[in-house]
Amino acid sequence: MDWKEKLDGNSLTELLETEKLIVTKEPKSGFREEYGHYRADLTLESPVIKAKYRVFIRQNKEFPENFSIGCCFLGTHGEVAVIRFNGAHKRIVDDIDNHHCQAHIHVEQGFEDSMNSLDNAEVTLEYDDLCSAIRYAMNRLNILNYQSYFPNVDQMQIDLED
Amino acid sequence: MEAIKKELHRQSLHNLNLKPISSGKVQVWLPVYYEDGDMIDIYVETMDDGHYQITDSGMTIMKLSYNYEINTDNKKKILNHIIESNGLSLENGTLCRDVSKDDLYKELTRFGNTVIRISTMTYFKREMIKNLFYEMFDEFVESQIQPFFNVERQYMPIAGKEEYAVDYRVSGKREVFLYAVKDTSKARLVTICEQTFLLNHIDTDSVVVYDDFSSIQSNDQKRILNATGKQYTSLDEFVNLGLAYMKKRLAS
Repeated sequence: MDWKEKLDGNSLTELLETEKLIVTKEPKSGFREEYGHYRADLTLESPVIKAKYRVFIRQNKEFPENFSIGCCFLGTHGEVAVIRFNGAHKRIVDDIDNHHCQAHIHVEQGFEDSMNSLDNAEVTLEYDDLCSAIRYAMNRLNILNYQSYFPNVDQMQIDLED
Repeated sequence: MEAIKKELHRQSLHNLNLKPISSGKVQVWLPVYYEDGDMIDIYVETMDDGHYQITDSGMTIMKLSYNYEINTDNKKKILNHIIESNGLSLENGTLCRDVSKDDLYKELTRFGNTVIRISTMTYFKREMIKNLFYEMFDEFVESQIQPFFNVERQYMPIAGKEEYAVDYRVSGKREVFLYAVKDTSKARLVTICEQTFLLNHIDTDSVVVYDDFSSIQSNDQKRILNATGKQYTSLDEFVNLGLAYMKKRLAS
């Protein structure tokens, strides 16, 4: 199966950039604490290309810089991870994987056999904590109605304990 | 031998990194990775009694939750089994292991292995398991049916019409056509084959085993039920009851 088929005829760029709407959020308000982390899960739909997605948001309770916001396309041939926004979850510079020492974004490149591995990572200065990462991710994913679900995120406030 | 040993010693020092997190707690980096390429998170804390406690600060289950939910009793049972059988405990989502000073390195390695085992629980996802349906079915036929009966795979009852095939022709004193059906498109194919066989005056009894009967579209459920014989709505049903039925059906 080639990439076009895996993505139901869409391109990775289309899937990333198309306008989207949040359809559900769990929990409806704030975040839920579970197994030592905070979490929220969204489902999205694109009214333009009729695609469906799920987005997960996780933040470690002990180490807040360990956070992750991932977006997966829910295709007819299964789920495909498209992009993941991470915090700086590595604390030491050595010979390996030093992009993890800064906020970074894993993006699917569409290479053969790369599905769901998100090997590629780009370091970013666009965000430095979960709140700014949510704001950046919502804009990069072109989610039009995110303010309804994260009302204070543009003021750089989120309430994890809600 | 000495050269290899020397090289391994040199590399093991080079690949082990520590970063103080607080007084008495350090983060340890070993060259052990999650499947997505991130290094696994390991912390070591000195306890009052001089022992060490190894933890993951809750990252293993947090990362697992990106793609897999521990949301049923059975999943919790499997998770607890992996944790306990590797000597670890789970405290508020954090994996923990208390170790003596002398065992620290050995236990760090064991801890890393356990984290990887837990991470691979994503392979239990239904869509992953579902893809194994035909393999699991074939294994059952080979191990449980084949010892008692003749089994012919991809049997073509109509000469020259290879597009109408039976998954398994199982024969003893009598014979049945056995089909494995994972999805609606396979259900349609089986329906067409059986209707074609009937038109060609082949009226061998059929047995259909579904991965999940409820996942077949409603109209296709009706068509396949009308066109075929004995039905098993899941592989579990067939595993439990199928062999006894086949013995009874093929011996008489």
